[in-house]
Amino acid sequence: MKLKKLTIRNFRQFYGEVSISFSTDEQASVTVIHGENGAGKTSLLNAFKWVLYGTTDFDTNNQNILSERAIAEADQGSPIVMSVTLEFDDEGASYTAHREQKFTKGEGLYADSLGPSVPSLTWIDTAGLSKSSSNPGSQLNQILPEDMHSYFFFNGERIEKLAYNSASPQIREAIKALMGLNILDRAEKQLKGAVVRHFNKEAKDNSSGNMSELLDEQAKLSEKIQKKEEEIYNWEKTLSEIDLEIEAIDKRLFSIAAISEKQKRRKELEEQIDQIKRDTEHSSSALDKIITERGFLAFIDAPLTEVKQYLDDMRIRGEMPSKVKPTFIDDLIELGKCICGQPLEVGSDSVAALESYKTTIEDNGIEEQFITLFGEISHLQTARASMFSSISGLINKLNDLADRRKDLLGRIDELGEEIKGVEDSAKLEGRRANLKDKREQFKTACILGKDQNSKFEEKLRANEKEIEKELASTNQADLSQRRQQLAKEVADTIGELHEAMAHKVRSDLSKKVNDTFRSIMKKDYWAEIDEDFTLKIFKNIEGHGKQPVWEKSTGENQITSLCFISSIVNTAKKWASKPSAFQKGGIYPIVMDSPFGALDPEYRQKVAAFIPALADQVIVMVSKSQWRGEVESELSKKLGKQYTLKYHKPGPGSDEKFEYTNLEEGFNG
Amino acid sequence: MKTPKEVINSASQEAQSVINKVLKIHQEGKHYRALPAEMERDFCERIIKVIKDEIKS
Repeated sequence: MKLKKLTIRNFRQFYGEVSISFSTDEQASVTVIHGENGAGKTSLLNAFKWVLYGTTDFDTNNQNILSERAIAEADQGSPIVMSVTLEFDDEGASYTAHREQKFTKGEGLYADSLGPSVPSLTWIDTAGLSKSSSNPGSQLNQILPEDMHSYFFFNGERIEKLAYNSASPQIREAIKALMGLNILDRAEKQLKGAVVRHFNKEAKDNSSGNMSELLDEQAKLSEKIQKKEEEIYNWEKTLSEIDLEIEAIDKRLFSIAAISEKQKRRKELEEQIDQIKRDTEHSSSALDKIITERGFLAFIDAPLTEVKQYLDDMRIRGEMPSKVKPTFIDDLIELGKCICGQPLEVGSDSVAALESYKTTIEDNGIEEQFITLFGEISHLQTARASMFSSISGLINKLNDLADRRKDLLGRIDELGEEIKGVEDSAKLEGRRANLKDKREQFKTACILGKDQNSKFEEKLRANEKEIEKELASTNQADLSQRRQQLAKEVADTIGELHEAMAHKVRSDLSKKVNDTFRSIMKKDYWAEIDEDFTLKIFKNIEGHGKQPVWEKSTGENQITSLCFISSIVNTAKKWASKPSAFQKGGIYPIVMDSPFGALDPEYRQKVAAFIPALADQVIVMVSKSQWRGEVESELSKKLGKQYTLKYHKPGPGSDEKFEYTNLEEGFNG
Repeated sequence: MKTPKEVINSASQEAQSVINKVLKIHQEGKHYRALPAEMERDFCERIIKVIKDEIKS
């Protein structure tokens, strides 16, 4: 895919029609768009997103994207057209993607939308024939998948989030999108849903009585489980977005000098709370285990005492243990002489009497059982005492953990109030508190949802056992039942395959990320995508080996994220030459807004040097301060075209009534 | 974590044969962000047929 021209009309601060032609020269593949803050660089980035997919990254999404000046200058009731057109080449064809939305001017600076935006896609194929798409959205997605879009069109100041600890769901999603694993997702859902339902219905139609009811229950339970799984998936997705935003707010709070110490302290206390949570879970499960495995000991004290008393009485009465051992009798008979000196002749009455004692003892085995039972009772009494001692210890620990948690929460709350009291941070702190509340709500919903689902699954397992029993006795609906089982096995295997493939790509990408990272970083650090799909930086500490780097600067996070994106782009490019069942790959341009913001001069130079190598075409949007020096000298080596966004600001001494931006070719410094 | 090959090999012969066919069907829709309803129905019917062909009696 090679971008040729972007034409914007009445989109955000771009009033009237504004066009940019991008450099398509392989030797000079970089197009630079200069603009100061607020001039429209982010709007330009969003124009790409809007024309391709009909969405934007603005906080208000697609609200208020019509140019203010276009509304102001229109007559009331007259139509206003907002549109973006993107011309590009892909695999030999020349495409024109266009999206427009019509409005009618209302009162003041208000305009009513006359309907949703309408996309169109036309192209001239390799034979020179002109064509038009009946499904432009899907066809554009085929050329540049929407879920991969953010890795090719991105805001440099926001990509640092990819390196946050809470960004693992995003990294996992990127890897799955890169692999084209969405087909596995769809196949698994379809098999578990519609296909299983079909065979269930078929089995039910061929059954009667109890079997029919069981199958009906099975269908209902499967449906409930699937619905709940989808709900939990969405809650977890929201939860991960909340975590990411909280982490971003925390980074910003750290940067406010007046509260950075308080913020640091709060972070430490929150980590302690997390540890307490883990300890509580550990102690609770140990308590559960003790009660499940040894709980019966609590109720056997009375029978134990009674039996022990009985055995003791026997012992006191001299009934047990036996005073004469069978081996002793054997020895006497063999010796032929009693301990009193009387001879013991074979066949005599004395020997017969002795033999009878031996038989009684041996046959009953009472003595052995007496001793064993005595030992067992003592053992059970010791185990009982030890169980009570363990339970008491764990309960004390849980109480102690609960007290510490309460205390820490109070201190965290106080710190929150103090942070809120500092003017610069009040808004951020308010948002953070709000997000924390929401986080708790979603977390509770997830826990309850999972608990509900495990109950449904338990019922389903019981139901399936009943069905099996019924099948064995009636042989009803056996064929459909076996088909349903196969559909489930296939769905489960595809689910497992999905995870296994994502992990394989993760480990390949991890190596690539590290290679790029080490070529840029001046410190002896290395980067990895770990088993949990978190992008992490590590260092070696003498005597302690490999240790994670927790406190990364914004610049380090930005570089780590850029390395990840570069690995994704390279992999997509590599796969474009050998597409397979899952991976499509592709050669994509890179459009970056402010990628050098938080970097120091050395890193700016290194990042600027590797950016042109990222893709066959690169479009960079920079402010004057980001451009000068190292970035200019590196990017100028591959510079094809330059534009400057000119922002017109209304205000005293200005003829302008409304803000707008126009574009000039070139750059005047 | 099992490798993709190990996952496939641990499935039954019947499941392995169905997986290949199911994934081939879904390949046809890989460029769609959301499968059109008609295509989804068509895929579903074809997958049901694949399973029926695998277990005939």
